[in-house]
Amino acid sequence: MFSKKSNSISTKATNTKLITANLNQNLSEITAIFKDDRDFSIRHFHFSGTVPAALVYLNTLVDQDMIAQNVLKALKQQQNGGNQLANNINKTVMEEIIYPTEIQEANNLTTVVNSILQGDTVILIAGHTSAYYVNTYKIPERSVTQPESEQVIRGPHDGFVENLATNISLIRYRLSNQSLRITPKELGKQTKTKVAVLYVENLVDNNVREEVEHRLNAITINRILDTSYLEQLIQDHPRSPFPQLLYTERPDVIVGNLLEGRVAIMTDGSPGGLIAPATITQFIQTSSDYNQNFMISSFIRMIRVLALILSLVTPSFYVAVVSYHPELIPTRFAIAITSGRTGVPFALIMEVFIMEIIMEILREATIRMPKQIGNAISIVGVLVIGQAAVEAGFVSPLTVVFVAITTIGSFATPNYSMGFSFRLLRFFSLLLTGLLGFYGFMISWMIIMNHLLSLRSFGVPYMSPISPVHWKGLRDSIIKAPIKWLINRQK
Amino acid sequence: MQKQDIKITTLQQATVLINSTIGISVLSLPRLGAKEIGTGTMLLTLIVLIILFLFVILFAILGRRHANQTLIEYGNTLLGKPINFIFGILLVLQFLVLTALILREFAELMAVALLRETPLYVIMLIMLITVMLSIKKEFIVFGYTHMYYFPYILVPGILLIMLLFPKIHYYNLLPVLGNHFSITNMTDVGTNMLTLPFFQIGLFTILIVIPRMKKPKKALKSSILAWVTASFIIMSIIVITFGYLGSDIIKDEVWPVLTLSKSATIPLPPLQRLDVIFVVFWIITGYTTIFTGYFIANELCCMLVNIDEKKRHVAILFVPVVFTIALIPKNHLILYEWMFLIGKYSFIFTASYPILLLIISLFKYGWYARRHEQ
Repeated sequence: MFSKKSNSISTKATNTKLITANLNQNLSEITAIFKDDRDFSIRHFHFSGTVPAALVYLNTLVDQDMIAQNVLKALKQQQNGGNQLANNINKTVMEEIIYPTEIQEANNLTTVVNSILQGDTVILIAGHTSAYYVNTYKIPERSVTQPESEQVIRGPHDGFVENLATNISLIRYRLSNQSLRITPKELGKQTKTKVAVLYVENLVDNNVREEVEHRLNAITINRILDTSYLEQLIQDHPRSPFPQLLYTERPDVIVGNLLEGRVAIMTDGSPGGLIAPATITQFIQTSSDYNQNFMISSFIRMIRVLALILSLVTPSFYVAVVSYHPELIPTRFAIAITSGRTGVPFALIMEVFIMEIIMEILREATIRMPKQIGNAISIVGVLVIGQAAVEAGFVSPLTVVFVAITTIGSFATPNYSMGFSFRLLRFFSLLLTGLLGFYGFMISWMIIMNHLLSLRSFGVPYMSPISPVHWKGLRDSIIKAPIKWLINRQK
Repeated sequence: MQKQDIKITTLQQATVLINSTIGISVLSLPRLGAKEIGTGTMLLTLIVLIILFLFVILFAILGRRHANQTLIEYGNTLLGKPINFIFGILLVLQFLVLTALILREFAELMAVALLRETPLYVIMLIMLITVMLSIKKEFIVFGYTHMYYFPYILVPGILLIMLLFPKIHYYNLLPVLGNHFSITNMTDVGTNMLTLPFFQIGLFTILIVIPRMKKPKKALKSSILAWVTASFIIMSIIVITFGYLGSDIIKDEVWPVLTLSKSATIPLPPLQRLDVIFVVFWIITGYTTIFTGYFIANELCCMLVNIDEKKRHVAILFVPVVFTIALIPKNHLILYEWMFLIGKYSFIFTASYPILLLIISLFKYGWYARRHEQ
């Protein structure tokens, strides 16, 4: 299904050249397009041992064994029938000779060129005004492994790969349901990336589905190299730091969401899918929540919410209390804090700010390094920031503790982009708190919350089911009710 | 794009009313009558709340009668465009002034409770910007916002009541009528309380929100429930303040309830002091009231001059106006004088406009018209 080109491309070219009966002319037309591309191959042969013919393909995209065995060999074999063959060439090729399952006929050069680009092998026969293209696409593909960013302890361990067809097979495998619809699309003027929109027909919210398709169709961009391109192009509020579509690399998450009436978008070349609409509670959920006792998963989810909030408020709360409202701290502890800060040359807000920035630098440094060096960096980070900085009187020990809590809190969020947006916003919160103390802290909290309250993901309020309150939805939000209560839920 | 006409639910309407009604003026409410009528203030507050309750019912009935139109729209049909336009402009101005006064009150409170050295205008400007940013393209976000902040107000409110209720000295609550009971005193203080800006803002939300409701028929019920809840919280806070501090101390405090909340403790170190929780409470209550006042002014203005609803963020134009008005009073004493003075005139207006509409509406479409048709 996905190896086929959509009609939109062939219709776009207005002066479409038709295939002529002259084989050499056809070939030179195609060669004029591909020029002397290294991987462009033309294989001349005689169809049925008599009629001159040629196979055209890009040898980097195709399975050469398959062409040799199933296409070329079959075409070269002597066919019975003599004259009859010439009249019936179409039927013979399409129905009798070719072994590969997907073969189609084309009568213009644009389709032919497009199919060559997608890894098909084109058969041109002299004296015949149509071409045939056979799906012989093959690219090196990594095996299905557990996605590194979404590991689970209990639950399936397979993750998406870059190949769209494999990914779809992983979804079909879990959801062998006749209502599952997989709508193909082709996006990106230059890349012509295959995109699939998936939904379950009788469960999906049609407004959302139509909106997804509408927004996808409106995309005019040259390249789509990953699902994240689509995410940025179709989200409701591009100027918001929060992710408005859920990205996942796990087939079971996609299937679960499809069954809850959502729409999934998959892109060829990207090991993950997008789920629309997304609400904020989805970003603190993982698939393993459903594989565990409801008490355990509810507890874990609450811990995650706590971690997320901590990653946002810890540094600013610390600054607000210590530098603006020390009266809130019990006396004995206040003395400990003050003595820890003796000799620190910075104002507390500066100190926290510098530490947070250093923390971000460390994080960024470890991400791209090879594992061996990454370990070295974390050791340096721990030693320099954890101990030496305190001993040198550069920062106070308490600051280190709070900065560490912030960082760990943001790592405990299952979704990377959500964790990142909170990490980003904590600087905003820190800034306002530094200026206005607890008042600034509350103001920053309110601005962030009001922004969240106004967000929508494909028409669905982002903060749902918290506000607007959706009582049934709350069963599977920050807590997870026993699975019995969730069974009849559709959306 | 997507359907924009999502309607406010009954629950959201109730929370809008509660949030807007419980404002920071509650902090000073016990003081208003403490000097003149002492403990009689409690009874008076109850009376005031009951009087306002009648207004709530009237407003809800009016809103329900014209649930398909906005306030200005049915004002136009009932009063005629020119008269209604003048009324509308005055209402916008009135709510801008009321919002400015509450903003100033909020800033004065913050200057006492949190930021002793920060200039007032910084506090006010930041709050105004926050409020301005909270006004989004869709009306429903107004409902979402209030729904979301409702627990922030309810939980600390209940906590305050629960923690301090056992500490009440009952002799502080008596006599019920106060020591210097006289009708003049009662009416004087009563009018001051009745006309406090935050009550007016709370009341007016009913008229603004009902046309946007999913089930406007339920508005009466939900408004009554919301008003009872808000009244319960306000009354409890006032009774506790009197019971705990006594009217002699309250007299000398600018914000008696603030003092009260500082004495709420739980025996669990290091969280003994609950100031933080109550500071959250006061900031949020202040915010919701100012937000609502500003929102009403903006909404009325949009309706009057036919600005498209999605361009609600013209709200930014009001920022300098509100800010300047809020800067005018010299100190909190003058601020309160202003509040009483302006409050009285604006209350006449807040009350008379809807009642006028209701009367005309009853004559035009109600029993009167029906009888004459027959």
